[in-house]
Amino acid sequence: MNPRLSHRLLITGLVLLVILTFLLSLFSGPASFGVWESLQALMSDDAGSIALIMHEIRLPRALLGLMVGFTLGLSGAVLQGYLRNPLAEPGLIGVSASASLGAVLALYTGLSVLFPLALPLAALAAAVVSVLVVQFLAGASGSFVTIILAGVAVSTFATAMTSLVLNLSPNPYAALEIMFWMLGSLEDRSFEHVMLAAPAMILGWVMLLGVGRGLDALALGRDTAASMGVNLRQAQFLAIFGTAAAVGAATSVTGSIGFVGLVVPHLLRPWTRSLPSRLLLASGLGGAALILAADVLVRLVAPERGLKLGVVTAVIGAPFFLALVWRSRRQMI
Amino acid sequence: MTGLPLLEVALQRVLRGTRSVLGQIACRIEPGEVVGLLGPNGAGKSTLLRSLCGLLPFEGKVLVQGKTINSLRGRERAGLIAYVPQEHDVAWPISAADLVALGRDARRTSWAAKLSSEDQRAVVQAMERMDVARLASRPVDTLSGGERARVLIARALAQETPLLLTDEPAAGLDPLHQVNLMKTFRSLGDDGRTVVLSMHDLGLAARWCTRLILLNKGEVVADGSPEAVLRPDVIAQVYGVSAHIATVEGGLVVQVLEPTSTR
Repeated sequence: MNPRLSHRLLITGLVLLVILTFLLSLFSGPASFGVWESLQALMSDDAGSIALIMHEIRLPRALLGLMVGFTLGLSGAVLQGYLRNPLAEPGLIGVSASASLGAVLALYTGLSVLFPLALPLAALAAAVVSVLVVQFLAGASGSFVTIILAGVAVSTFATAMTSLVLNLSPNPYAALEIMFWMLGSLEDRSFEHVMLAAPAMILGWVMLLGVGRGLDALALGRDTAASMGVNLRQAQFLAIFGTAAAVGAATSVTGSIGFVGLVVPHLLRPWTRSLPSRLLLASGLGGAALILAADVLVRLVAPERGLKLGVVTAVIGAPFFLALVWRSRRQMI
Repeated sequence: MTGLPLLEVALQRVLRGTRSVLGQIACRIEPGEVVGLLGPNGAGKSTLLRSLCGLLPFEGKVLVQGKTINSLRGRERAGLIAYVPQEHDVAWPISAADLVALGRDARRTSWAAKLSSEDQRAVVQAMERMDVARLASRPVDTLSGGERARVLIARALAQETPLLLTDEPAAGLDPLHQVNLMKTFRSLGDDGRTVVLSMHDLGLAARWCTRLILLNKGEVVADGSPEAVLRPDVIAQVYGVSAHIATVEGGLVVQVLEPTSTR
Protein backbone atom coordinates (compact mmCIF):
# COMPACT_ATOMS: atom_id res chain seq x y z
CA MET A 1 0.00 0.00 0.00
CA ASN A 2 1.06 3.58 -0.55
CA PRO A 3 3.08 4.40 2.58
CA ARG A 4 1.60 7.87 3.08
CA LEU A 5 -1.91 6.53 2.70
CA SER A 6 -1.27 3.76 5.20
CA HIS A 7 0.10 6.28 7.68
CA ARG A 8 -3.04 8.40 7.30
CA LEU A 9 -5.20 5.33 7.73
CA LEU A 10 -3.37 4.45 10.92
CA ILE A 11 -3.81 7.93 12.36
CA THR A 12 -7.47 8.04 11.32
CA GLY A 13 -8.09 4.64 12.87
CA LEU A 14 -6.45 5.69 16.10
CA VAL A 15 -8.42 8.94 16.24
CA LEU A 16 -11.63 6.95 15.85
CA LEU A 17 -10.50 4.59 18.58
CA VAL A 18 -9.80 7.51 20.90
CA ILE A 19 -13.25 8.99 20.19
CA LEU A 20 -14.87 5.63 20.84
CA THR A 21 -13.06 5.03 24.13
CA PHE A 22 -13.70 8.65 25.15
CA LEU A 23 -17.43 8.17 24.67
CA LEU A 24 -17.35 4.84 26.49
CA SER A 25 -15.59 6.54 29.35
CA LEU A 26 -18.31 9.21 29.46
CA PHE A 27 -21.02 6.57 29.60
CA SER A 28 -19.59 4.37 32.31
CA GLY A 29 -19.82 4.91 36.00
CA PRO A 30 -21.76 3.85 39.08
CA ALA A 31 -24.75 6.04 38.22
CA SER A 32 -26.24 4.46 35.14
CA PHE A 33 -28.18 6.47 32.68
CA GLY A 34 -28.79 6.00 28.98
CA VAL A 35 -26.47 7.18 26.27
CA TRP A 36 -29.01 9.66 24.97
CA GLU A 37 -29.75 11.10 28.42
CA SER A 38 -26.06 11.49 29.10
CA LEU A 39 -25.39 13.27 25.84
CA GLN A 40 -28.35 15.58 26.35
CA ALA A 41 -27.18 16.37 29.85
CA LEU A 42 -23.69 17.03 28.61
CA MET A 43 -24.94 19.54 26.06
CA SER A 44 -27.45 21.26 28.30
CA ASP A 45 -26.86 24.02 30.82
CA ASP A 46 -29.41 22.93 33.41
CA ALA A 47 -28.26 21.85 36.83
CA GLY A 48 -29.94 18.45 37.01
CA SER A 49 -28.13 15.61 38.72
CA ILE A 50 -27.29 13.90 35.44
CA ALA A 51 -25.86 17.09 34.03
CA LEU A 52 -23.89 17.63 37.22
CA ILE A 53 -22.39 14.16 37.09
CA MET A 54 -21.55 14.50 33.42
CA HIS A 55 -19.98 17.94 33.75
CA GLU A 56 -18.26 17.66 37.09
CA ILE A 57 -17.22 14.01 37.23
CA ARG A 58 -17.22 12.16 33.96
CA LEU A 59 -16.11 14.83 31.52
CA PRO A 60 -13.01 15.87 33.48
CA ARG A 61 -12.21 12.23 34.13
CA ALA A 62 -12.41 11.35 30.44
CA LEU A 63 -10.50 14.48 29.40
CA LEU A 64 -7.77 13.79 31.90
CA GLY A 65 -7.56 10.17 30.74
CA LEU A 66 -7.16 11.38 27.17
CA MET A 67 -4.48 13.92 28.08
CA VAL A 68 -2.52 11.64 30.38
CA GLY A 69 -2.66 8.78 27.89
CA PHE A 70 -1.49 11.02 25.05
CA THR A 71 1.34 12.28 27.25
CA LEU A 72 2.52 8.82 28.23
CA GLY A 73 2.32 7.37 24.73
CA LEU A 74 4.04 10.36 23.15
CA SER A 75 6.83 10.65 25.70
CA GLY A 76 7.46 6.91 25.56
CA ALA A 77 7.84 7.07 21.79
CA VAL A 78 10.16 10.09 21.98
CA LEU A 79 12.34 8.58 24.71
CA GLN A 80 12.64 5.23 22.94
CA GLY A 81 13.60 7.05 19.76
CA TYR A 82 15.96 9.47 21.44
CA LEU A 83 17.68 6.90 23.63
CA ARG A 84 17.64 4.33 20.80
CA ASN A 85 16.42 1.89 23.40
CA PRO A 86 13.22 -0.13 23.22
CA LEU A 87 13.07 -0.30 27.02
CA ALA A 88 12.97 3.46 27.54
CA GLU A 89 9.85 5.02 29.04
CA PRO A 90 9.08 8.12 31.11
CA GLY A 91 9.62 6.17 34.31
CA LEU A 92 13.14 5.27 33.25
CA ILE A 93 14.53 8.79 33.45
CA GLY A 94 13.02 9.28 36.88
CA VAL A 95 10.30 11.78 35.97
CA SER A 96 7.28 9.83 37.23
CA ALA A 97 8.88 8.75 40.50
CA SER A 98 10.14 12.26 41.23
CA ALA A 99 6.81 13.88 40.43
CA SER A 100 5.15 11.42 42.81
CA LEU A 101 7.67 12.34 45.48
CA GLY A 102 6.96 16.05 44.96
CA ALA A 103 3.22 15.46 45.28
CA VAL A 104 3.61 13.36 48.41
CA LEU A 105 5.91 15.95 49.98
CA ALA A 106 3.35 18.69 49.31
CA LEU A 107 0.66 16.55 50.92
CA TYR A 108 2.58 15.69 54.03
CA THR A 109 4.17 19.02 54.72
CA GLY A 110 0.65 20.43 54.67
CA LEU A 111 1.57 22.83 51.89
CA SER A 112 -1.27 21.55 49.77
CA VAL A 113 -3.76 22.54 52.45
CA LEU A 114 -2.42 26.07 52.70
CA PHE A 115 -2.41 26.53 48.99
CA PRO A 116 -4.10 24.02 46.67
CA LEU A 117 -1.82 24.70 43.71
CA ALA A 118 1.12 23.54 45.79
CA LEU A 119 0.60 19.86 45.05
CA PRO A 120 0.82 19.92 41.26
CA LEU A 121 3.49 22.61 41.37
CA ALA A 122 5.58 20.55 43.77
CA ALA A 123 5.17 17.51 41.53
CA LEU A 124 6.19 19.48 38.48
CA ALA A 125 9.12 21.08 40.29
CA ALA A 126 10.33 17.67 41.46
CA ALA A 127 10.07 16.35 37.91
CA VAL A 128 12.16 19.25 36.64
CA VAL A 129 14.72 18.82 39.43
CA SER A 130 15.03 15.13 38.57
CA VAL A 131 15.77 15.81 34.91
CA LEU A 132 18.17 18.60 35.86
CA VAL A 133 20.06 16.02 37.92
CA VAL A 134 19.95 13.55 35.03
CA GLN A 135 21.05 16.25 32.58
CA PHE A 136 23.87 17.34 34.92
CA LEU A 137 25.09 13.78 35.41
CA ALA A 138 24.91 12.90 31.75
CA GLY A 139 26.14 16.18 30.24
CA ALA A 140 24.40 18.37 27.69
CA SER A 141 24.90 15.84 24.92
CA GLY A 142 25.38 12.84 27.12
CA SER A 143 25.74 9.27 25.97
CA PHE A 144 22.59 7.20 26.07
CA VAL A 145 23.89 4.80 28.67
CA THR A 146 24.75 7.59 31.13
CA ILE A 147 21.30 9.12 30.72
CA ILE A 148 19.66 5.79 31.44
CA LEU A 149 21.92 5.02 34.42
CA ALA A 150 21.39 8.49 35.87
CA GLY A 151 17.64 8.12 35.34
CA VAL A 152 17.49 4.77 37.07
CA ALA A 153 19.46 6.15 40.03
CA VAL A 154 17.18 9.20 40.36
CA SER A 155 14.08 7.06 39.95
CA THR A 156 15.12 4.56 42.60
CA PHE A 157 16.04 7.33 45.01
CA ALA A 158 12.74 9.16 44.50
CA THR A 159 10.72 5.98 45.00
CA ALA A 160 12.59 5.24 48.21
CA MET A 161 12.06 8.80 49.47
CA THR A 162 8.34 8.61 48.68
CA SER A 163 8.07 5.45 50.75
CA LEU A 164 10.08 7.05 53.54
CA VAL A 165 7.83 10.13 53.67
CA LEU A 166 4.77 7.92 53.80
CA ASN A 167 6.34 5.64 56.43
CA LEU A 168 7.05 8.60 58.66
CA SER A 169 3.63 10.09 58.18
CA PRO A 170 1.25 9.84 61.13
CA ASN A 171 -1.70 9.77 58.74
CA PRO A 172 -3.53 6.42 58.79
CA TYR A 173 -4.56 6.96 55.20
CA ALA A 174 -0.93 6.97 54.09
CA ALA A 175 -1.22 3.51 52.59
CA LEU A 176 -4.06 4.66 50.35
CA GLU A 177 -1.99 7.64 49.29
CA ILE A 178 0.91 5.34 48.46
CA MET A 179 -1.40 3.35 46.22
CA PHE A 180 -2.62 6.49 44.51
CA TRP A 181 0.83 7.89 43.73
CA MET A 182 2.46 4.59 42.88
CA LEU A 183 -0.31 3.09 40.76
CA GLY A 184 -2.18 6.12 39.49
CA SER A 185 -5.88 6.78 39.22
CA LEU A 186 -8.35 9.06 37.50
CA GLU A 187 -10.89 8.84 40.31
CA ASP A 188 -12.42 12.00 41.72
CA ARG A 189 -10.57 14.34 39.40
CA SER A 190 -12.21 17.66 38.59
CA PHE A 191 -11.87 20.36 35.99
CA GLU A 192 -9.46 22.10 38.32
CA HIS A 193 -7.09 19.19 37.84
CA VAL A 194 -7.54 19.39 34.09
CA MET A 195 -6.75 23.09 34.06
CA LEU A 196 -3.80 22.64 36.40
CA ALA A 197 -2.18 20.01 34.27
CA ALA A 198 -3.05 21.36 30.83
CA PRO A 199 -0.53 24.20 30.38
CA ALA A 200 2.59 22.21 31.29
CA MET A 201 1.31 19.17 29.45
CA ILE A 202 0.67 21.07 26.25
CA LEU A 203 4.07 22.75 26.51
CA GLY A 204 5.57 19.28 26.93
CA TRP A 205 3.69 17.95 23.87
CA VAL A 206 4.98 20.81 21.73
CA MET A 207 8.55 20.14 22.85
CA LEU A 208 8.24 16.38 22.37
CA LEU A 209 6.69 16.68 18.91
CA GLY A 210 9.47 19.15 18.08
CA VAL A 211 12.11 16.41 18.31
CA GLY A 212 10.38 14.81 15.31
CA ARG A 213 12.60 14.07 12.35
CA GLY A 214 15.79 14.18 14.38
CA LEU A 215 14.78 10.82 15.86
CA ASP A 216 14.93 9.14 12.45
CA ALA A 217 18.51 10.24 11.94
CA LEU A 218 19.34 9.20 15.51
CA ALA A 219 18.40 5.63 14.58
CA LEU A 220 21.74 5.61 12.74
CA GLY A 221 23.70 6.71 15.81
CA ARG A 222 24.75 10.00 17.31
CA ASP A 223 27.63 10.78 14.96
CA THR A 224 25.64 10.09 11.82
CA ALA A 225 22.71 12.10 13.16
CA ALA A 226 24.99 15.03 13.95
CA SER A 227 26.52 14.80 10.48
CA MET A 228 22.99 14.91 9.04
CA GLY A 229 22.37 18.25 10.71
CA VAL A 230 20.59 17.11 13.87
CA ASN A 231 21.36 19.36 16.82
CA LEU A 232 21.96 16.74 19.51
CA ARG A 233 21.93 19.20 22.42
CA GLN A 234 18.62 20.62 21.30
CA ALA A 235 17.16 17.15 20.74
CA GLN A 236 18.21 16.05 24.22
CA PHE A 237 16.83 19.23 25.76
CA LEU A 238 13.46 18.83 24.01
CA ALA A 239 13.18 15.11 24.75
CA ILE A 240 14.11 15.30 28.42
CA PHE A 241 12.52 18.58 29.45
CA GLY A 242 9.47 17.91 27.28
CA THR A 243 9.03 14.63 29.14
CA ALA A 244 9.52 16.39 32.47
CA ALA A 245 6.85 18.98 31.68
CA ALA A 246 4.25 16.63 30.21
CA VAL A 247 4.76 13.58 32.41
CA GLY A 248 5.43 15.72 35.48
CA ALA A 249 2.10 17.47 34.94
CA ALA A 250 0.31 14.19 34.26
CA THR A 251 1.74 12.56 37.37
CA SER A 252 0.92 15.61 39.46
CA VAL A 253 -2.79 15.01 38.93
CA THR A 254 -3.12 11.28 38.41
CA GLY A 255 -0.15 9.64 40.11
CA SER A 256 2.34 7.60 38.13
CA ILE A 257 0.72 5.27 35.64
CA GLY A 258 3.20 2.72 34.43
CA PHE A 259 3.54 0.54 31.36
CA VAL A 260 1.66 2.75 28.86
CA GLY A 261 4.78 4.65 27.81
CA LEU A 262 6.64 1.38 27.35
CA VAL A 263 4.03 -0.76 25.64
CA VAL A 264 2.17 1.55 23.29
CA PRO A 265 5.18 2.54 21.15
CA HIS A 266 6.01 -1.16 20.78
CA LEU A 267 2.50 -2.09 19.76
CA LEU A 268 2.35 0.60 17.08
CA ARG A 269 5.92 0.54 15.78
CA PRO A 270 5.27 -2.19 13.16
CA TRP A 271 2.57 0.02 11.63
CA THR A 272 4.85 3.02 11.29
CA ARG A 273 7.53 1.30 9.21
CA SER A 274 9.67 1.59 12.36
CA LEU A 275 10.40 5.25 11.62
CA PRO A 276 10.54 6.95 15.03
CA SER A 277 9.18 10.27 13.73
CA ARG A 278 6.04 8.56 12.44
CA LEU A 279 5.48 6.88 15.75
CA LEU A 280 5.04 10.02 17.84
CA LEU A 281 1.48 11.05 17.04
CA ALA A 282 0.35 7.45 16.64
CA SER A 283 1.77 6.48 20.00
CA GLY A 284 0.17 9.49 21.71
CA LEU A 285 -3.24 8.54 20.32
CA GLY A 286 -2.70 4.88 21.18
CA GLY A 287 -1.77 5.84 24.74
CA ALA A 288 -4.93 7.93 25.06
CA ALA A 289 -7.09 5.05 23.82
CA LEU A 290 -5.39 2.58 26.17
CA ILE A 291 -5.81 4.78 29.26
CA LEU A 292 -9.44 5.55 28.41
CA ALA A 293 -10.21 1.87 27.86
CA ALA A 294 -8.42 0.86 31.05
CA ASP A 295 -10.34 3.51 32.97
CA VAL A 296 -13.61 2.11 31.64
CA LEU A 297 -12.54 -1.33 32.82
CA VAL A 298 -11.66 0.02 36.25
CA ARG A 299 -15.27 1.11 36.62
CA LEU A 300 -16.82 -1.98 35.02
CA VAL A 301 -14.90 -4.75 36.75
CA ALA A 302 -14.83 -3.73 40.37
CA PRO A 303 -16.45 -0.35 40.78
CA GLU A 304 -16.69 -0.50 44.57
CA ARG A 305 -13.12 -1.72 45.15
CA GLY A 306 -11.36 1.38 43.82
CA LEU A 307 -9.24 -0.66 41.41
CA LYS A 308 -6.17 1.35 40.43
CA LEU A 309 -5.67 2.41 36.85
CA GLY A 310 -1.99 1.49 36.80
CA VAL A 311 -2.86 -2.08 37.69
CA VAL A 312 -5.31 -2.33 34.82
CA THR A 313 -2.95 -0.78 32.24
CA ALA A 314 -0.36 -3.34 33.26
CA VAL A 315 -2.89 -6.17 33.11
CA ILE A 316 -4.01 -5.12 29.63
CA GLY A 317 -0.56 -4.19 28.40
CA ALA A 318 1.46 -7.13 29.65
CA PRO A 319 -0.18 -9.88 27.54
CA PHE A 320 0.21 -7.74 24.40
CA PHE A 321 3.80 -7.15 25.30
CA LEU A 322 4.44 -10.84 25.93
CA ALA A 323 2.89 -11.73 22.59
CA LEU A 324 5.15 -9.18 20.95
CA VAL A 325 8.24 -10.59 22.63
CA TRP A 326 7.16 -14.10 21.64
CA ARG A 327 6.74 -13.06 18.02
CA SER A 328 10.07 -11.27 17.82
CA ARG A 329 11.79 -14.27 19.38
CA ARG A 330 10.30 -16.54 16.75
CA GLN A 331 11.55 -14.17 14.05
CA MET A 332 15.08 -14.33 15.39
CA ILE A 333 15.31 -18.11 15.28
CA MET B 1 34.18 27.67 -7.52
CA THR B 2 36.93 30.22 -7.12
CA GLY B 3 39.86 27.86 -6.96
CA LEU B 4 39.37 27.32 -3.24
CA PRO B 5 40.41 23.87 -2.07
CA LEU B 6 37.45 21.76 -1.01
CA LEU B 7 39.04 20.92 2.29
CA GLU B 8 41.87 22.70 4.04
CA VAL B 9 43.14 21.06 7.19
CA ALA B 10 45.52 22.59 9.72
CA LEU B 11 45.04 20.60 12.87
CA GLN B 12 47.26 21.33 15.85
CA ARG B 13 46.07 18.57 18.11
CA VAL B 14 43.03 16.41 18.86
CA LEU B 15 42.54 15.28 22.43
CA ARG B 16 40.38 12.41 23.63
CA GLY B 17 40.17 13.04 27.33
CA THR B 18 43.72 14.01 28.19
CA ARG B 19 45.34 11.74 25.61
CA SER B 20 46.53 13.32 22.40
CA VAL B 21 45.23 11.16 19.54
CA LEU B 22 46.25 13.30 16.61
CA GLY B 23 49.19 15.65 16.31
CA GLN B 24 49.83 18.34 13.71
CA ILE B 25 48.17 17.53 10.44
CA ALA B 26 48.15 19.87 7.47
CA CYS B 27 46.80 19.10 4.04
CA ARG B 28 44.65 20.44 1.25
CA ILE B 29 42.20 18.23 -0.53
CA GLU B 30 40.89 19.30 -3.93
CA PRO B 31 37.58 18.53 -5.62
CA GLY B 32 37.62 15.20 -7.45
CA GLU B 33 40.16 13.46 -5.22
CA VAL B 34 39.56 9.98 -3.78
CA VAL B 35 41.76 10.00 -0.71
CA GLY B 36 42.57 6.80 1.16
CA LEU B 37 43.50 7.21 4.82
CA LEU B 38 45.86 4.42 5.77
CA GLY B 39 47.53 3.44 9.00
CA PRO B 40 47.64 0.70 11.62
CA ASN B 41 44.86 0.29 14.21
CA GLY B 42 44.83 3.26 16.55
CA ALA B 43 46.75 5.49 14.13
CA GLY B 44 44.03 8.13 14.31
CA LYS B 45 42.14 7.54 11.06
CA SER B 46 38.66 7.57 12.59
CA THR B 47 39.54 10.52 14.81
CA LEU B 48 40.73 12.46 11.77
CA LEU B 49 37.54 11.66 9.83
CA ARG B 50 35.35 12.71 12.75
CA SER B 51 37.35 15.91 13.20
CA LEU B 52 36.98 16.74 9.51
CA CYS B 53 33.23 16.38 9.95
CA GLY B 54 33.24 18.65 13.00
CA LEU B 55 32.07 15.85 15.31
CA LEU B 56 35.02 16.17 17.69
CA PRO B 57 36.51 19.21 19.36
CA PHE B 58 40.01 19.92 18.03
CA GLU B 59 42.73 22.54 18.19
CA GLY B 60 43.46 24.04 14.82
CA LYS B 61 41.46 24.74 11.72
CA VAL B 62 39.35 22.79 9.25
CA LEU B 63 37.98 24.76 6.29
CA VAL B 64 35.36 23.34 3.95
CA GLN B 65 34.99 25.42 0.79
CA GLY B 66 36.70 28.20 2.71
CA LYS B 67 34.37 28.12 5.71
CA THR B 68 35.46 26.91 9.16
CA ILE B 69 33.68 23.68 9.96
CA ASN B 70 32.61 24.81 13.42
CA SER B 71 30.98 27.98 12.13
CA LEU B 72 28.63 25.96 9.90
CA ARG B 73 25.15 25.27 11.13
CA GLY B 74 24.04 21.65 11.18
CA ARG B 75 21.97 21.82 8.01
CA GLU B 76 24.56 23.79 6.13
CA ARG B 77 27.22 21.25 7.04
CA ALA B 78 24.94 18.38 6.08
CA GLY B 79 24.70 19.95 2.63
CA LEU B 80 28.49 19.87 2.29
CA ILE B 81 29.59 16.71 4.08
CA ALA B 82 28.12 13.23 4.35
CA TYR B 83 29.63 10.86 6.89
CA VAL B 84 29.41 7.11 7.42
CA PRO B 85 30.94 5.80 10.65
CA GLN B 86 32.58 2.46 11.14
CA GLU B 87 29.77 1.13 13.32
CA HIS B 88 26.80 -0.08 11.35
CA ASP B 89 24.19 -0.39 14.07
CA VAL B 90 20.71 0.83 13.24
CA ALA B 91 18.37 1.10 16.20
CA TRP B 92 15.09 0.07 14.54
CA PRO B 93 14.12 -2.35 11.77
CA ILE B 94 13.74 0.41 9.18
CA SER B 95 13.49 -0.75 5.57
CA ALA B 96 16.51 -0.22 3.33
CA ALA B 97 14.58 2.21 1.11
CA ASP B 98 13.39 4.30 4.06
CA LEU B 99 16.89 4.33 5.48
CA VAL B 100 18.47 5.57 2.24
CA ALA B 101 15.74 8.21 2.00
CA LEU B 102 16.89 9.58 5.37
CA GLY B 103 19.89 10.88 3.47
CA ARG B 104 17.53 13.33 1.80
CA ASP B 105 16.13 14.52 5.12
CA ALA B 106 19.43 16.20 5.80
CA ARG B 107 18.85 18.37 2.76
CA ARG B 108 15.18 19.09 3.16
CA THR B 109 14.23 22.39 4.69
CA SER B 110 10.51 21.89 5.08
CA TRP B 111 8.59 19.43 7.20
CA ALA B 112 6.80 18.12 4.12
CA ALA B 113 6.58 14.37 4.49
CA LYS B 114 6.80 13.74 0.80
CA LEU B 115 9.98 13.08 -1.12
CA SER B 116 10.27 15.34 -4.15
CA SER B 117 10.94 13.70 -7.51
CA GLU B 118 14.51 15.01 -7.16
CA ASP B 119 14.77 13.23 -3.79
CA GLN B 120 13.39 10.06 -5.29
CA ARG B 121 15.86 10.17 -8.14
CA ALA B 122 18.75 10.58 -5.69
CA VAL B 123 17.53 7.69 -3.55
CA VAL B 124 17.10 5.34 -6.52
CA GLN B 125 20.46 6.31 -7.98
CA ALA B 126 22.25 5.82 -4.66
CA MET B 127 20.65 2.41 -4.18
CA GLU B 128 21.57 1.32 -7.68
CA ARG B 129 25.14 2.49 -7.23
CA MET B 130 25.47 0.37 -4.09
CA ASP B 131 23.56 -2.52 -5.68
CA VAL B 132 20.93 -2.56 -2.93
CA ALA B 133 17.84 -1.73 -5.03
CA ARG B 134 16.57 -5.29 -4.73
CA LEU B 135 16.84 -5.06 -0.92
CA ALA B 136 14.64 -1.95 -0.83
CA SER B 137 11.76 -3.37 1.18
CA ARG B 138 13.88 -5.49 3.55
CA PRO B 139 14.20 -4.28 7.15
CA VAL B 140 17.88 -3.56 7.79
CA ASP B 141 18.05 -5.98 10.71
CA THR B 142 17.43 -8.85 8.27
CA LEU B 143 20.35 -7.87 6.02
CA SER B 144 23.82 -9.38 6.16
CA GLY B 145 26.64 -7.23 7.51
CA GLY B 146 27.94 -6.37 4.06
CA GLU B 147 24.50 -5.61 2.70
CA ARG B 148 23.79 -3.33 5.60
CA ALA B 149 27.11 -1.56 5.08
CA ARG B 150 26.16 -0.91 1.46
CA VAL B 151 22.74 0.42 2.44
CA LEU B 152 24.38 2.84 4.88
CA ILE B 153 26.79 4.06 2.22
CA ALA B 154 23.86 4.49 -0.15
CA ARG B 155 22.26 6.65 2.55
CA ALA B 156 25.28 8.94 2.49
CA LEU B 157 25.42 8.96 -1.32
CA ALA B 158 21.78 10.06 -1.41
CA GLN B 159 22.80 13.13 0.58
CA GLU B 160 24.71 14.20 -2.59
CA THR B 161 27.34 16.29 -0.88
CA PRO B 162 30.57 17.65 -2.39
CA LEU B 163 32.48 15.74 0.31
CA LEU B 164 31.94 12.17 1.49
CA LEU B 165 33.78 10.90 4.57
CA THR B 166 33.53 7.19 5.22
CA ASP B 167 35.20 5.04 7.84
CA GLU B 168 36.30 1.66 6.50
CA PRO B 169 33.54 1.38 3.91
CA ALA B 170 35.17 -1.62 2.23
CA ALA B 171 35.38 -3.74 5.38
CA GLY B 172 32.96 -6.65 5.26
CA LEU B 173 32.18 -6.33 1.53
CA ASP B 174 32.76 -9.18 -0.90
CA PRO B 175 35.37 -8.63 -3.67
CA LEU B 176 32.81 -7.64 -6.29
CA HIS B 177 31.19 -5.06 -4.05
CA GLN B 178 34.57 -3.78 -2.86
CA VAL B 179 35.55 -3.04 -6.43
CA ASN B 180 32.08 -1.71 -7.12
CA LEU B 181 32.41 0.64 -4.14
CA MET B 182 35.79 1.96 -5.23
CA LYS B 183 34.58 2.46 -8.80
CA THR B 184 31.60 4.39 -7.45
CA PHE B 185 33.95 6.61 -5.47
CA ARG B 186 36.06 7.19 -8.55
CA SER B 187 33.02 8.13 -10.59
CA LEU B 188 32.01 10.60 -7.85
CA GLY B 189 35.53 11.98 -8.23
CA ASP B 190 35.00 12.30 -11.97
CA ASP B 191 31.93 14.41 -11.18
CA GLY B 192 34.10 16.73 -9.10
CA ARG B 193 33.00 15.32 -5.76
CA THR B 194 35.53 14.27 -3.15
CA VAL B 195 35.76 11.10 -1.08
CA VAL B 196 37.94 10.54 1.96
CA LEU B 197 37.88 6.96 3.21
CA SER B 198 39.86 5.08 5.78
CA MET B 199 40.91 1.58 4.84
CA HIS B 200 43.20 -1.33 5.62
CA ASP B 201 43.24 -3.09 2.24
CA LEU B 202 46.47 -1.84 0.70
CA GLY B 203 45.65 -3.55 -2.59
CA LEU B 204 42.38 -1.67 -2.98
CA ALA B 205 44.05 1.55 -1.88
CA ALA B 206 46.81 1.12 -4.43
CA ARG B 207 44.47 0.33 -7.27
CA TRP B 208 41.65 2.83 -6.76
CA CYS B 209 42.62 5.85 -4.65
CA THR B 210 43.98 8.92 -6.39
CA ARG B 211 45.87 9.88 -3.26
CA LEU B 212 46.88 8.20 -0.03
CA ILE B 213 47.59 9.68 3.38
CA LEU B 214 49.42 7.32 5.69
CA LEU B 215 49.02 7.94 9.40
CA ASN B 216 50.97 6.47 12.26
CA LYS B 217 50.56 7.34 15.94
CA GLY B 218 48.61 10.47 15.10
CA GLU B 219 51.14 11.85 12.61
CA VAL B 220 51.20 11.93 8.81
CA VAL B 221 53.99 9.63 7.66
CA ALA B 222 53.42 9.93 3.94
CA ASP B 223 51.03 11.83 1.68
CA GLY B 224 50.91 11.50 -2.07
CA SER B 225 50.11 9.23 -4.98
CA PRO B 226 49.78 5.51 -4.26
CA GLU B 227 53.13 4.92 -5.97
CA ALA B 228 54.80 7.46 -3.70
CA VAL B 229 53.24 6.26 -0.46
CA LEU B 230 53.16 2.49 -0.85
CA ARG B 231 56.86 1.61 -0.82
CA PRO B 232 58.20 -1.52 0.87
CA ASP B 233 60.34 0.45 3.34
CA VAL B 234 57.43 2.70 4.36
CA ILE B 235 55.06 -0.26 4.78
CA ALA B 236 57.64 -2.12 6.84
CA GLN B 237 58.28 0.90 9.03
CA VAL B 238 54.60 1.71 9.68
CA TYR B 239 52.83 -1.65 9.60
CA GLY B 240 55.75 -3.93 10.53
CA VAL B 241 55.19 -6.23 7.55
CA SER B 242 57.15 -6.85 4.42
CA ALA B 243 55.35 -6.38 1.13
CA HIS B 244 55.73 -7.21 -2.52
CA ILE B 245 54.84 -4.37 -4.84
CA ALA B 246 54.45 -4.69 -8.59
CA THR B 247 52.89 -2.88 -11.49
CA VAL B 248 50.43 -4.87 -13.54
CA GLU B 249 48.46 -3.55 -16.51
CA GLY B 250 49.29 0.00 -15.51
CA GLY B 251 48.01 -0.50 -11.95
CA LEU B 252 49.83 -0.94 -8.69
CA VAL B 253 49.55 -4.29 -6.90
CA VAL B 254 50.48 -4.71 -3.24
CA GLN B 255 50.78 -8.06 -1.55
CA VAL B 256 51.58 -8.13 2.15
CA LEU B 257 53.99 -10.95 3.02
CA GLU B 258 55.49 -11.49 6.50
CA PRO B 259 55.87 -9.60 9.76
CA THR B 260 59.26 -7.94 9.83
CA SER B 261 61.40 -8.55 12.88
CA THR B 262 62.91 -5.07 12.82
CA ARG B 263 59.87 -3.24 14.16
